Order: sequence, then C-alpha cells, then structure tokens
Amino acid sequence: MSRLDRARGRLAPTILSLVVAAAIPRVVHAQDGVPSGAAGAKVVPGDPGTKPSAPIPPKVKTKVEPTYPPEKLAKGEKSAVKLMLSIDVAGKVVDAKVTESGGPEFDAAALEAAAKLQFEPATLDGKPIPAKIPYRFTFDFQDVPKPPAPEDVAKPAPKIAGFAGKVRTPVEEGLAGATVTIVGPEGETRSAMTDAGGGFAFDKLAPGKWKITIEALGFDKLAVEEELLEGKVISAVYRPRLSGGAIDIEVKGERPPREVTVHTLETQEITRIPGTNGDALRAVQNLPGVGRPPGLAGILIIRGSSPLESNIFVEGTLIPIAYHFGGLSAVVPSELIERIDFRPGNFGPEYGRVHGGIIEIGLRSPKKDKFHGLVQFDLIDGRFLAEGPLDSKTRFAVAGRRSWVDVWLGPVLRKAGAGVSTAPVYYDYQMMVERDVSPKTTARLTLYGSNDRLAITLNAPAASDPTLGGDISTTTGFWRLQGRVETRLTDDIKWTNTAAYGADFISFNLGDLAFRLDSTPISWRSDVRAKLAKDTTLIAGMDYLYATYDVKLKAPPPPEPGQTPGPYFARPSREISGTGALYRPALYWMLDISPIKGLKLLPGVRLDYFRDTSTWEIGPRFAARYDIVQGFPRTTLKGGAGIYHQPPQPQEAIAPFGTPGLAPSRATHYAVGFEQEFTKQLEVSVEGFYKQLQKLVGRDLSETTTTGGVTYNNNGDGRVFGAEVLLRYKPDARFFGWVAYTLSRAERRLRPEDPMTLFVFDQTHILTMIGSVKLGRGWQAGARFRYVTGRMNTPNLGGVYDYDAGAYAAIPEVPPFQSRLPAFHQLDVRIDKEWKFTSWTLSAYLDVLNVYYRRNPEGVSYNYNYTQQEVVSGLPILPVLGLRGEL
Amino acid sequence: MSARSLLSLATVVALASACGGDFDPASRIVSFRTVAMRATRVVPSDTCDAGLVAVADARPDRPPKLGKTNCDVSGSYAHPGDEVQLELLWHDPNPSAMRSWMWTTCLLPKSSSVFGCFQKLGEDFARLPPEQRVKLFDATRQRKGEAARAFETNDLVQPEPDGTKRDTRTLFRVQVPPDALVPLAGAPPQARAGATMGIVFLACPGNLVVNFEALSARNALPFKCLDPNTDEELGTDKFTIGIKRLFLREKDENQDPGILGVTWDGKAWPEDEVKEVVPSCDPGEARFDRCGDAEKHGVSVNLAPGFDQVGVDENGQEFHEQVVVQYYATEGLFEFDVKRAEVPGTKFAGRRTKTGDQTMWIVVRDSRGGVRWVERKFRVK
Repeated sequence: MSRLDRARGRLAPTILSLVVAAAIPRVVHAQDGVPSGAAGAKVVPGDPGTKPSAPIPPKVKTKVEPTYPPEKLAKGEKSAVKLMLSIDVAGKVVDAKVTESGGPEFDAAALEAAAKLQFEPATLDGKPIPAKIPYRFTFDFQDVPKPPAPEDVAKPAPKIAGFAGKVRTPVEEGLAGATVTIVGPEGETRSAMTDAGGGFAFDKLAPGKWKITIEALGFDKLAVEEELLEGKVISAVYRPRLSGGAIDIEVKGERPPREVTVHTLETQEITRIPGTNGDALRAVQNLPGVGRPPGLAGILIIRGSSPLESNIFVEGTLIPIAYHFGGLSAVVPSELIERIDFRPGNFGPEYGRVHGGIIEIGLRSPKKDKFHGLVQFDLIDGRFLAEGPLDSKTRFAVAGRRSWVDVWLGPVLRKAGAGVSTAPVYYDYQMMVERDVSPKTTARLTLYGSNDRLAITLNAPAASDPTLGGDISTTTGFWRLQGRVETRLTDDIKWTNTAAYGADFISFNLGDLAFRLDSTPISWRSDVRAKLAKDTTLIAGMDYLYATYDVKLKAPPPPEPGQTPGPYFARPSREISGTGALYRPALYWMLDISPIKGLKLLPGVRLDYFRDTSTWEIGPRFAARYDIVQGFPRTTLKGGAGIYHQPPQPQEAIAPFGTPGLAPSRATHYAVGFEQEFTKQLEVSVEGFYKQLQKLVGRDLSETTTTGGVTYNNNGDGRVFGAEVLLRYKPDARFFGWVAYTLSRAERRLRPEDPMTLFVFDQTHILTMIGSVKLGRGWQAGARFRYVTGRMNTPNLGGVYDYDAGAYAAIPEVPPFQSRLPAFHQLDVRIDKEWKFTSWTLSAYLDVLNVYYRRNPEGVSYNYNYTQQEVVSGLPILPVLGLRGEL
Repeated sequence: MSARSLLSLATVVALASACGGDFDPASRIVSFRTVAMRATRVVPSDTCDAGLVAVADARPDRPPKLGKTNCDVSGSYAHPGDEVQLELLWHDPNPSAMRSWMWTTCLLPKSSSVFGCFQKLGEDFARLPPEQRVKLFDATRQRKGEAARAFETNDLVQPEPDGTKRDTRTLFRVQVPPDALVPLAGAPPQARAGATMGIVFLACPGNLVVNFEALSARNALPFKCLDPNTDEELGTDKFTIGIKRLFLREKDENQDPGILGVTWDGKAWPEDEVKEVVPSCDPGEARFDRCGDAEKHGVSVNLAPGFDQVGVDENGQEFHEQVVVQYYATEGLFEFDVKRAEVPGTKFAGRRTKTGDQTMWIVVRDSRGGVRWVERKFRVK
C-alpha cells in the first residue's frame, strides 16, 4: 500500500501526524556493528476513517538469517535487499515483496528468510493490527576471513574515532528507519539506518570533520557537520523537521477505497502548489474534474455541475461556503487541515442531497508534545495558530485569519477611478479541544466560522443601472459548534458521532433591493463501521439535517432563464418574507465485500426524506474495484453506478418564494476506469464518466401570480460526460507534481421539447500541470500551468432602452451559450525559502500568478447600448509575498 | 453556497460596472436617441388638482410640441380607465432621415423587465387570427415614414378637440382599460404591486414589421426593422426600441420630481442663456479624469422639496423613492453621467471634437417612473 493508493480512491484519511517506528534487526553479517532497520513504516490502523492515537509498530520476535548465496560468497560479493513485508495480526509475515533488488540470488535468499520471520504484531490502542513495513537484509562478508593485502600490512595502525547518536521526532520519540549518511574528510562514505529507538552508530572512523546527513520519510533532510576526535566516540541527537507540517504515513487497513474516484491531497503538496498561496481548498481546483471558476468567484465547478450541486463538509458537517470573497482563500485554513478528500462523482451513500461532487475536509488533531505557534502574513491576509497540550490527555488549538485586501485594494480601485471607497474584508476562526476520554474513545469539540463583508460606496450611480449607486453591501458568514466522539465498541465495531449546531447568514443590499437570510442548521451524523466477517464490513449510519430559516427579500421577480434581468431601477419590487424549517433525515448502508483477493464489491443504498418536498428517495449505489495485477506495479480496474437525489433549493420549493410540490432532481452516475502504477512514485489514473440528469428545476413566469412571481417546474434534464486523466508523481524527498486533464461536455435544457444546449459551466478541456522541486538549503521552486477552454458566453446583440431607468437592457443572443470566450491559460510560479533556527522556523514564499501576463478573458464589457464590446481581462501579474514564522 | 456565489458575482459585476471601459459615455448624444418618456394623466380641468409640484422649468417648447394635458399629474401611476399621454424626449441630428415609428402597449406583462413586455406582445400577436396577422404585417410594411401601430385600440392619431394636431413621433395617448386590474383581484399584494402597462416605442430607419417567426421565443423581439431598399433585416443597433411602464393602481399616485432650476458653476443658468465652453478634452477622449484642467464647469439642478417621496402604498408596501439626475449633451464629457438627487451636481468639460452650438439635457427620474427634464444650450469655442 502506498500513497498512490490513496490518490486512487481510498476513502480513508491518509496523513497521520504520527511517528511510526519499525524495529527490525536483521541481518546476515553485521556491518560495523550498526543494526539494520526499516524505514518509515506503513501502518495499518483499524480504520483509517479515524486517526489512530498511537500505533505501535511490529517488533521482531524471531530473527532469521538468510543463507549467503555460495557463489556470491565465493566471489566476495556484497549486497543488500530491501523488502516490503506484510505482517498480519498474529505477527506472521503473509507477504513479502522485493522493493530494492540486490540481485536474483540475494533476492531469493532474502525472501526465503523473510517468510520465516516472526514479529510481535503492530498495535493500535492495544489492539493488534495488520501492518506493512520495509525490511532490509544486508549481505556482507565482513566475517569471512580474508588475507590482508600486502599494502595493508605495511600501513601503520589507523587513527580511529567513533560516532553514535539518536534521531528523534519532534515528539521525542525515536525515529526508526532513518538513513544516516556520513562523509569523512577523505571522502569516505558510510551509511546506516536507525534502529527502533532511532539509534545509530559508526566506528572505526577517521578523525576530522564529517558531514552528516539524515533522511527519513516524512521529514526534511537534515545536514550537519561533526568534528570527530581520535580515540573518542562522539554522541549526538538529531531532530529532523517534519516535512510539510506532518509526517506522511502510508495507510491501509480495513477501509480500502470505497469509491471509484477519490483524490486525496497531501499536506506537502497542498501547501506548495504554485498559484494557491498554500491554500488547501484552492489546491483542489487543480485536480481532474474541477472546472476553473470565473474570475474572483469562489465557487466549485465539479464535472460540469452547477456549484449548487456540490457540497463541502468539515468532518461530516455541511458548511455553506468553501471560499472567502473572490475565492482568494478557503474558509478553513490549511494549517488545521489533515486531509481533503475530493469525490467528483459516484460517491458512497454516506453523502447525499446533491448530485454533483463532494469535498470532505478533515481537521487534524492539535499537537500534544508541546506548545506550538504560527504566524503568517502575505498580501491577502494574516493568520495565526497556537496549539499544544492542556494535560496528558487534552490538547487545544486556536487559529484565526483576517484579510488585508481592504488595506491595499481600496486605494488601488480609487486610483483606477472606480469610485469605490472600501473593499472586502473577511475573517475566519477555529477553536478546538480534543481529549482522550478513554483508551478507546476520543472526543473533540470544535468551534469554527467565517465572515465576509463587503461595503462599497459608489460616488455616483452606474449609468448602466442607476440602482447600482450609493451603498452596496453584502455580508456572508457562518459558524459551527461541532462535537465529535469516536469510540471503538469492540475490536470490530467503531462508532463515530458528529453533531453540530450553528448559523448561516447572508445579507445583500443594493439600492432599493435587499435580501437577508438567517438560518440555524443542526446536523447529526452517526456512523457505525462493523466487521461482519473476514472479508465483509458493514458501513451504516444516519445523516440528519434540520435547519430553520428566516428570509426577507425585496426585489423584482426574477426573469425567465436567459432573459435580461436589468436594469432594476424603477422596477416594481415585491417584498416577501418567510420563516420555516428544513428537515432532511437520511439513512445509509453499504457493504464492503472482498469475495476474492483483489476484488472489492461495494453495494450501498441511501434513503433520504425531504420534508420541503414531502418525498422519500432511495438512492442505490454500487462500486467495484479489481486489482488485475496485484502487488507492484499494481493495475486496478474500477467502475460504479449510482442514483443521487437533490432537493430543490428552498427558494424554489417553499412558498411564498417558490412552488410547493416540486420533486427532487435526480442524477445517475456511471464511471469506469483503471489505475496503473509505473514506479513507486509515478502512477496514472484514467476514468470515463457519464451523468444523466433528470427532473432539473426550471422556471416560468407565473400565470397564477401575474406580475408577482415565477413558477418552478421539474421539466429540465441534461447530461454530462467525459474523461479524466491524472498522471501523478507522488511526493518524495525532492519532487512532486502531476498532470491532470479533463475532457467533458455538459448539456442541459429547460423543457423536453427544447434541444440540448451547452450548460453555462461547461468547460471542454481542463489541463493542469504542476511540478515542485526541493533545491536544497531550504529552497523549493515550483510552477503550475493551466489551460482551460473559454467560458460559455451569450453575446448581446443590442439594447432596449428602459425609459424609467434611463439605461439599456441587453438583448442576448437566442439560444444562449452558443459561443465561448477565448481560452484561459496561465503560468504561476512559486519559490519557497526556509530558515531554521534553534527553536523556530522562518519561511518566506513568493507566489507569482500569471507570470507571462496573459490577458485572460473573464467576461465582456459593453457600451451603454450594447452595440460595442470589449473583453474584460482577469488578474494581471500578481506577486504575493508571504512570511511565516513557526514554533 | 448558492446565495453566496451569486452575491460574489453581483459584487464583481458592480465593481466592473463601476470601473467601466473606455467607450463613449451614454451621456454623449451624437446620433438619433430617445432619452426619456414622461407620462401625464389627461385629467379634465374641472377635476384637476393642479399644482402638485412646482415646475419652474419644464422642457421648453420645441417643435412639434402640440399636445397638452389639462393638469400636470404624473401618469407613471395610472388608474383603470385613465387616459395617459406619453411625451418623448428625443434628439435627431438628421431629422430628414426616413424613419418608421411605432407606439404600442403591453398590458399586465408577467415580468416588469423589458422582455416581459415583449413576451406579452408576442403572445398577443400570436393570438391574432392569421388573416389579421397578414393584415397587420402588410399594414406595418406599407407605412413607411408614418406612425405605425400594432393595436387598433391604441390608434389615437387624431386631432385634439381644440384643433391642434399631435405629432405622433413625440406624443402618444393611451387609455388604461377600465378592467385592467380585474385579473389581479384575487392576487397577493406582491402581485398587484407589480401590475404594469408597458408603453413601447420603436423608430426604424426602414420598414417596421412584426416578427411573427420569433413570437414564441423567450428573448426575441416581436418586431423587425427592414432595410428600405433590400428588405434585409437590420441589426438591433440600427434602430431604437424603448419601453416605459405605467404602474397600475386603484388609488396610489406619483408625483414627478420637480426641477426648480439649473446652475452653472454655482450660479443660476436660465433657459435662455447660452454658456460658452473652452474644450479641455481631446477629441477621442472618453474619460473625464483624463481631460486637462483648462476648463471644467460645475453643473447642477435645484430640485423641488420632497422630490423623494416616502410612504406606504395601497398594497401595504413601504416605499422610499430613489431619485437620480442624469446628464446628457451633444458634445463634451461629464465627470459623472448619473448622480443621486441628494448630491445632484457634476462637472462638465468640452471636447475638441465639435464646436458651435450644443445642447445639454438634465433628466431627473424617480424610482416609481416619474420623470422631468430641462434643456440648456452651450457653445463650444
């Protein structure tokens, strides 16, 4: 199991801030007395849906020495063989694969010996768990008597020194499997791997200055210099820094991939992707299946779906927005994110109420070793984080962020003659307390929220619509108080409960137009995962949502789709309000069945009730994965189909805003694809998908409430189909990157008698290429290139003069969306530099967007009567310089 | 997320609108344009409650202004059975050009947007029997250079009782059907609040015809303008279409905002005074802030007190009028083309594009359809 497994489709959270040591003494012939060990272990927690608190790696119980191949011994050949061992809960080696060959004869001898090894099994919370660990056999002939060379006899006895030490993690645990390489004054190179306690030792070294390098998976490379003295053994302790803010643990267990497609980003990737300012959710926009949002619009376009058709969850709790104003940054800071699982389609029955895609954000636990702090400033915002232990079982984290955009954007706009006197402001906050209630139960209480405010005072009304004048203000915000308890009822049953209470609020004032929504959502997700048999796991649960709302609206009725709504000045407004509650409970079940090795069948079903439409909906879903080539290099076929229901938006289905009696829209997802490993780092994933959309909500001007409203209907339908390719180089010590390409077509129509037309969010080609390389000495550089088909556009053919507004209403081309804006392409570059001090780290980054100043079209601007037009470009070259200090 | 996204987009649109492009501003009128349409109720003199609003400076007579109302009562809020006269403010630098003209109405469109009215017209046309459609089509084609019409009931091209004749290019009278609000008798208040009658005006440098092929299309214009020589359909940029709404109410009334006077550099600018302007903007310049500082003039209007009406309408809905002042001129640039009535003044600079006598119009509109305008002359040196 490797990182690419996660990238291929695991449900599991995959980055655990743990250190896992694997104490693997080894070997055939000792080498300078340095014990061999295994590098960064792969741990198999009981259920990766929950972060294990402290997995204990396997320990060797019965050592076995392989047989030295006689012909190699005769020739005096040395070698080493690296293996990946799969160890079951009894401590038995059930599988061994060569990961670094030492030659056929050595490989065979190593495999033979490995099969006889006996371990004490890895444990999690005292419970044995299966594990994968790397293991090395070293074949040396040190003990084989060799006659000394004549020149050696003549030499004087060498002056010797010793060097020993320990490598520790930031939580002061021994770091096993780290590679310690030393280079002497004469260029002599020696290396060893740390043992289970992180220890290492070298002897018979020449006195002088030695260069020491320590490398370990999940840690930054550490390079130091030590002076070794004749006749003395120098002892040292090294603490390499976590790379990307977290140790990357390979995770596999009872919870293998349960969807056709789930992409998981790793911390060291999401914080270094050029053009994202290290923002986790903006990193998602670089994955296949995600469309490019219109400039400064913080929306998610997933597989040609409307942003309203995708949901974002924080540990199972729905949040209303993903990004702050303009999409500049996410509402949840990267520093607190443990993982982001992105499911563009065919997601499991745990999720529903939308038929687009799902993004699930997992928050990490606060650090418990000591107090940590972080302060960061860049052009966009400033943020802080403080965390640490409260006692041996309790830890906390507090974080916050506020934008600086208003400080510099206001003057810039004023200088540009925009007549704008202020600019948007946003902030978000997070507070978390986590406690180990018992060895089998962890509880976490989290408060988080976000607020975006924009207040513009235009010095003069716009000539295009006098309503656009004076004070324009919007406020968007939410908060959630979320409690989460994870408990292991038995060895085979885990129960997770997540309940949240909060508020959503949106207000908008534009001249005489006004809108305000206050909502109080209460959600509760109760999830049980039970292993029914050796190859069968049941996932079942309840997903409950109750939300009160209070809405006030003053605006003219919306026009029919495609009709020009404005100008609004001197249009009769209707003032309506409504209060009520949404009640949407759901139940889900899924089986995870492995009838034969390598095959996984995942039948599931979700039962939803929508009180606003008074309907029950059943959504059966099925996914399957089959490793046609098991082991490395793995080849997996995958596919799935499922039915998804989405209730109408409240304003569509609830009187007095909408039309009671609407039905939920429905989508059927189909997907098929394969995954192929090429190397340990390089893999490709290819998927084809098809979404059939039915009962889409459209609207007509109301006959019954003439001049007072609209009537919604379920007459719309549509389809989305395409293919996604992800060629990914997983992060290693020096590089990460990927090429993501999506080919898709999204079509919809409002009435069955209409022809299908391209949907407004259709983007035929989406290409993203990302690469980031560590240059050494704390430098890292990366680049991102994107090419996206131009946005759909409906040209205006002229204007109709509105005598009441003194402005023109555009005459759009019919039918709409028959043309596109020119394509978008952009190169972003990011450079990071890190300075490490004794107790803290300072890092700086320069993220330069649109390096070659492509004037990417974001829209079309027209003259007063829509007879002349010019393309509106997006962001120019935008360098963002950031500084970050971290304790 | 939805509302949030929409708001973000709206804000971006607002910002974009604020930034604008380098197009010629809407205030510069150099070709045929209609600028405003004022509705006044035709009230018998013995029932007229005159003097609702002090009007010190109405639009001066300019030929052909032959129509009149007995009382200056705004027709923007009209009652069932009212007769309303519509007066058009327009400018045509080439008055000899051939144009077809058409006035028509749409009663109770489902949407108050301009396309709501077109959709209603299309539905009305589509309901006509085929023989009437052909007749209408032929009739409109044959009326080159004359005022055409779409409905018999709106054909009010006739002499006044006092013998004067109404120029159908600038004046139009319409009768609000006495039963206009009957269909909304049981409708909720917000529906009754949206009851309007749309007044449509078209001017085409060719032949105006009904666009029967597109009557069922949601966004299509129900008219076409054909080249007089080739019968080719002309683009919408070649002809003029405008719509005004009459708000239909049982009792409510509106007052047009009153204009007491105009000021130039802070001093009164009488109607008969021609101001002289030294241009400070380059000929192709479209932005006021890029003009030189040589000569810029403050222009403003004095509005009658109480120009922004406040109250509760007959449907129980509170209202507070927004009032804006819009500036137009045949040459020159304004610092702001549109101002809120609370701070109505703007600055004006001439362009070196044209010299000689020019015209400036100042139009004051309220958010319930009321409008007044004044006209002034200036000379560019």
